[in-house]
Amino acid sequence: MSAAASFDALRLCAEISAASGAGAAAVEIHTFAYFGCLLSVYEDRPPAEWGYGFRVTPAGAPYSDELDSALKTLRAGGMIVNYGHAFDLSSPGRADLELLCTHATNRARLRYLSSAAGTALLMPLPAVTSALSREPQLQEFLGAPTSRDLLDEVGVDAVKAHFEVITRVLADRDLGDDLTVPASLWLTALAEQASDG
Amino acid sequence: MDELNEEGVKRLLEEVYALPIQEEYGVNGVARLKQLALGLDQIYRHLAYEKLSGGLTVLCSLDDDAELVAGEELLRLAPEDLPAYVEEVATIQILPDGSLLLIPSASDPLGFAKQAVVYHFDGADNFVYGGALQRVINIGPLPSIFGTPTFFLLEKALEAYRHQHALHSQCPILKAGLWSDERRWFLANSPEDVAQDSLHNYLRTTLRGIREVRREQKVDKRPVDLKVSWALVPRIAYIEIKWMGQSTDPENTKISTTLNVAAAKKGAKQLADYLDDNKQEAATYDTIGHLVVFDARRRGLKFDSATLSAIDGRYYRPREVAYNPAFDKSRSDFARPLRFFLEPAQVDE
Repeated sequence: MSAAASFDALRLCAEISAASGAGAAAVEIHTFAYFGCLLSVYEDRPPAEWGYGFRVTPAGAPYSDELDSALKTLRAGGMIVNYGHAFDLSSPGRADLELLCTHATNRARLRYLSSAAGTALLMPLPAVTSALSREPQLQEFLGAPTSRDLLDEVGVDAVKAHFEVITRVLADRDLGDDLTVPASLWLTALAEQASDG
Repeated sequence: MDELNEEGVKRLLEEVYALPIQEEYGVNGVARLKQLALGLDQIYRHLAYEKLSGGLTVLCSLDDDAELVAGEELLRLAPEDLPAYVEEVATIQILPDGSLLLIPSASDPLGFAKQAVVYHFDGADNFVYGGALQRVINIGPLPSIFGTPTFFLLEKALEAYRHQHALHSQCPILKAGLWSDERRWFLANSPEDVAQDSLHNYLRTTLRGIREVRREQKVDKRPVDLKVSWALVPRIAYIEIKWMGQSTDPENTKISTTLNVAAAKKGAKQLADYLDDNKQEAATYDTIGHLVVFDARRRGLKFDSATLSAIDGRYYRPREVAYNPAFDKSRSDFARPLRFFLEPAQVDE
């Protein structure tokens, strides 16, 4: 099992559950992990450094086999529990997550995960996942008969073209190293594209 | 692939309220904003907006140790205890452990702004920055974007919409655009556009596990009003929206259209036809159709009526449409039709 995927599954389960007040759906964990990976691309990190890859399902959603495997393992081990349509952390899962957050290897990715999941605190959670569905490669492959890998060279170029616009618009702003504002602005722009048809 | 328009993105900056808060308070301000948002979700799960007619101020201190809310009536409590103590107005500080400091009275939100990120509700969301209360652009169906209830099942979401958003036109989009008169006796011209807007906005901000909710999907060249597609499963729901009642002309000088049960039945037939067409084209999707009918009928009402009795105003509330054929009984891809009765705002009791 991918250690990065396992950590991301735990952390996103905790953050999405807190934002929603009603657990985290599997699709939300996959989507916010992909969003976290995109935010690392925003900072010019190659997607290969994320630790695991994503593909798009025929229904147009980002999906990671490693993340799916991690969720299954965590569930079998009692680290996460299933409530109806959603997951939440068990007490051992919370304790494990607390420990994992102190590991140097996880601290860097924590920033991306928290910035991604934090957007669901600032706007309704379904509005975030709906806006992300307008991400260039997810749009490109919607309805494709087979699953396709995301963030290949063409995909990275398309996302970076978006991020260059966001960077230019925020160029004069003092944002520190927090990614919440660029993440929120990009989502707002994607949502605007959706409402324009 | 769609490219972003830079000028368009610049225009969206005012919707990103985290930006001015970050600029005013730095990275710590954004962390406090998230803590504040989390606390607001908790507060609104326990306090109804209607209970806050005198206003609600909620703050998160920039310094973990500072207790900024004070007074003789000060209480330290959990969010679930709020309903017992709050009537119309409150000032609340969210503490780092998620507990709350409460005084059940008003405060000047600007007075906390040097030491805290401050939110104020006055029927809508505001944050304090730049020395003033600044309105948050609300993309949701409720008076606040915080604490929005969410659903995993479309059927549950539609039921909640029926009772909590449509019945008394609580949805701001319905309230602003569906009616031609404040009494809610007559619908405005072309009410279907407003009904579609309202339900589209509601579903895209409350329904989880989906990929997207889109308006006006073409199925074999005929439109279906809304299309909901799920993210991880090949599932699609089509929603056909109809209305019944009397709508006025654009100048509001006369009744221009009157629709009754025939319109609902026509909608059922149209939806069944759409589903048949779609079956051939998208055999790989599990597809279901929902017929939703906004019902604004009033018994015996004429354009120049001066009064409407409570009995006539609510006459149609319990009266369901008898569909023949009943597609929801005869086919598995047709959900039970839903009728959203819309209450008049004024009747003679």
